[in-house]
Amino acid sequence: MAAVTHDHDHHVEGLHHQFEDMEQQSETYLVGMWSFLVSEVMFFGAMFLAYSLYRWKYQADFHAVHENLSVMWGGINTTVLLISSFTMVMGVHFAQLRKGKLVQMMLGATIACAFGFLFIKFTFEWPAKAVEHLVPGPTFGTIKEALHGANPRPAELFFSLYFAMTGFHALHIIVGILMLAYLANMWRKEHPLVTKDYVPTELIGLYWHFVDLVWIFLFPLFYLIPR
Amino acid sequence: MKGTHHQGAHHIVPPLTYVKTLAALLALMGLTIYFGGIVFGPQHLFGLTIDGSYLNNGIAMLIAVTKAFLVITIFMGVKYASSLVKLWAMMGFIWLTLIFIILNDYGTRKYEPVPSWTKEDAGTGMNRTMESNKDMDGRMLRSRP
Repeated sequence: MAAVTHDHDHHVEGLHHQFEDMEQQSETYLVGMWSFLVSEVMFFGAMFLAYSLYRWKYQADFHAVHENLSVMWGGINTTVLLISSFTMVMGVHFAQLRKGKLVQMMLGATIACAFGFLFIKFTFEWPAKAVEHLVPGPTFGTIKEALHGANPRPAELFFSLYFAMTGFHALHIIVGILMLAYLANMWRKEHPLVTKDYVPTELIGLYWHFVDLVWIFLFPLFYLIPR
Repeated sequence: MKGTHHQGAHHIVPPLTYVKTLAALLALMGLTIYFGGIVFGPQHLFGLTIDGSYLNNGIAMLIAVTKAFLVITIFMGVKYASSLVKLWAMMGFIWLTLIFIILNDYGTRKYEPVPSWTKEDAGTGMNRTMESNKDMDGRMLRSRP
């Protein structure tokens, strides 16, 4: 679209006073969010490094004990997160078109998926590990059958990494739910910060896709370990 | 400045693109589960014999990287973003290459960085005398010679 000519005193919708134009404002927003996401990549990267080293050293034990995790629940959760990424991107799409009601619907669907993910984690996945004595600690591995033939100490390493990495991932999901709910409420109130400019909605979307990205790697690394 | 057209005007992607991306991501997830369950025999590559699990790992990571690429370019809109945003998006993954340098370090050391840092060790070298370190008959697990 050709640039609309306007004199400098004219107020551009959604433009904050410290920026020259919308283009500069949007890029500043996006680069700010991406630099945060880079720090997140570093944060998770350290844990992925620890995982790689121990997986490398204890491949056989990691394979044996990983059979305790359910590929079905892992797969369902992957599907749920991928769908939530889709509803999120559709939310941003409707934000570009300024269709507030549809944005709220899409954000609501994303939040519903997030709760679905956490529900599976908190009911079918994590608590079962406590029952089977697979939570790292003094009684870890005392139920031999739950280890599926793995040596207890490498198995404990596996579950330390599992709880640390899926735990921090779940924490990011919880933070994501809070941000999405806050954003949806701003749309409901037709707050000019989000209705006049779609980029703030896009920024929350970027965060949400990052959470999805982490899971894309966690799923094969923890649930699909080859023999 | 060049490229102002694309950066200024909000690039609106047709929803069908997002639907196709989702379908591709779900299909790739199915593929990764399928290949995760296959037990490959030893592989012969360039005169070397490697364990079949390396092939599983390679396929799993290739699929994961492809999925990540789709999410970053389409869902996160990096494909339609300015060069500066593209640069920032790549930054984190450039940092990740450090991981491979650190893995190289571990892989080529001649000494053990920590006790029990050998494949032969059952992990009992961590010096914990606990119930779970005993085998089925109640004997302490020992490092295999």
